[in-house]
Amino acid sequence: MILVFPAIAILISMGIYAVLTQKNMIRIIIGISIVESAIILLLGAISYIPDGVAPILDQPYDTVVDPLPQALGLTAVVINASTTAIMLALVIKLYNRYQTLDIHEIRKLRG
Amino acid sequence: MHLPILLILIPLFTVFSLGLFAFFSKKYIIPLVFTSSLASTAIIFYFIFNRETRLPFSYNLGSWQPDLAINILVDHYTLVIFAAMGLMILLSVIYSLTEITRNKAKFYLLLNVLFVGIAGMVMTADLFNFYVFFEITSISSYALVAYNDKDISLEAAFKYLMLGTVSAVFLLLAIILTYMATGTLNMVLIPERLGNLPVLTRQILIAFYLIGLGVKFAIVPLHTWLPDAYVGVPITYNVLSSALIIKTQFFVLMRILYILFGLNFLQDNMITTILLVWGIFSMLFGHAAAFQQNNLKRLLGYSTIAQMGYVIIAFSLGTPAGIVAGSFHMVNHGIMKGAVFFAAGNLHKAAGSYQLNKMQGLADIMPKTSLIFVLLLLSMVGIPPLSGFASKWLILEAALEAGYLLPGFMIILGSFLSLGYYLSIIINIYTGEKDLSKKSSARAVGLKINEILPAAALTAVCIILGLYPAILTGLIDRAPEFLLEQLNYINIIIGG
Repeated sequence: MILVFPAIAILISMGIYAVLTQKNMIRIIIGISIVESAIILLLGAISYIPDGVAPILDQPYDTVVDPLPQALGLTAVVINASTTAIMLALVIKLYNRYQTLDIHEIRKLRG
Repeated sequence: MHLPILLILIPLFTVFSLGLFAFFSKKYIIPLVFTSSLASTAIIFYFIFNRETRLPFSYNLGSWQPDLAINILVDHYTLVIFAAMGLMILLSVIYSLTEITRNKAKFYLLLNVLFVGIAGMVMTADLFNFYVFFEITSISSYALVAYNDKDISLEAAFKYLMLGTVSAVFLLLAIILTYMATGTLNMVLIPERLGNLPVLTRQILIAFYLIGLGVKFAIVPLHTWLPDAYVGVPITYNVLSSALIIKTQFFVLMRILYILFGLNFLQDNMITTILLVWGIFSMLFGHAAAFQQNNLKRLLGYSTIAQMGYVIIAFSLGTPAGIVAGSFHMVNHGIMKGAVFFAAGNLHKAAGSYQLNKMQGLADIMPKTSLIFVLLLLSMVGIPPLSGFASKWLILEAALEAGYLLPGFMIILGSFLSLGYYLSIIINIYTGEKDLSKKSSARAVGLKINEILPAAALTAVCIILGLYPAILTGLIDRAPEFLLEQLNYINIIIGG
């Protein structure tokens, strides 16, 4: 379990590095997805209790995991899915206009 | 009384019924949207007029005990955004009637999703729901920026989406860290548990909240999406973004900072000073960048960034007078900038372009709209009888009262800078080549009543507020009680 948190830190750094350095729009989106997945991993990790079960209290249990981060994680998954959908839709539209995925060639705006 | 939750539910049900209605007949779209925004406006004005008896008001979803339930809360600080919502929702819908010609159902669907998000963000009292409503607002904003389907709007939407998603990651990280540190996301329970944490932890949390929300209200190094996004979008989105969306994000950041962390912590750790300097930098940068623009919408975008700088300065003073002044400017700038965008949209109908050099001599074609436009620009600068003067005077007074002489000087300097580029617009419109009417691009156009009404109504509000600022200060003068005093806010839910 100790290794989870450094792993999350590495994943977030990797994702942000990809967003900052990549030119291909699909790769930028992959970078953002990595960051978002790392956050969801963090949500899973902080609610983890060894031998914990799901907090459905139909019978007495000793250890239940914390449900709130998991609920937040589910919400975050839904939100990430919708932002990724919008991003990919925009990439399709931009590709049809410019015939390229390079972010530097799509530059009508300055400043 | 279920009114606060209705403010979220009415636009939400409009979204669902829009899909149904548009499936059967397109002619029901406008009446439906109009009715729902009228109902939302009525609820907002109910709270504004009954503020003495009804507020502060907390609503408990599902009648759980207050520390477990989802709480929705309306207090006097919320009225700041309510005042802007009460005017802008209805007027922007009125203006959009003729502006939006294709895909009406989709546009109003996105617009109502936006209203859901704004109403939720303003009223919610726990961070979980705040995050949900924040993302609802953001995602509908991304889609609305791309709505015009031009090259520039798609490109701006992609840029906004990149910055917005990364900032949302930081905000979620801040919320998770708050939960890890305190074990709750209820904004009422966090303050006392957060008080026991190490100072460094709290500073890191503040930094994450600031980055997460700073992108959305365009504080300077994180502002780059805003001018780009403003170029290719419908005027309706320009108005809503300037007057409501970025104001709401800043409103929530201030609530998080002052309620969760407390004024004393912020002042002891120089957070307010950092914000103050950052606000000054934001303001001067916005004004300086506005000088170099030749597109009217980009210029107004940079001007919005600069005006947010004034609001940041006023709020970071940390005195009741500063909060009142900042709130006043938040509402007042929304009114002025909304009216400027409405008028600019009307001018665009004659000029056919937002490039400043193509707007020369427009005053000959549209004398009345140009007059309104000039009045509003002078109000933005802060010329005395108009409302811009009142808000800048309040901010200046609050800054001097709190002992900040240099920020006071910077506010005056910023106003002079803004006078420079607004004067150049005015000169552009009133002089220039007089043969514009001969060009094919320019034509005298009859404006429809729904295009004139929003600009004229907001200009009237602007003049009235300039003469009687007490109308608005009377509305928001109790806001500092619920922002600077953590206990007042906590007692609304726990003790009330």
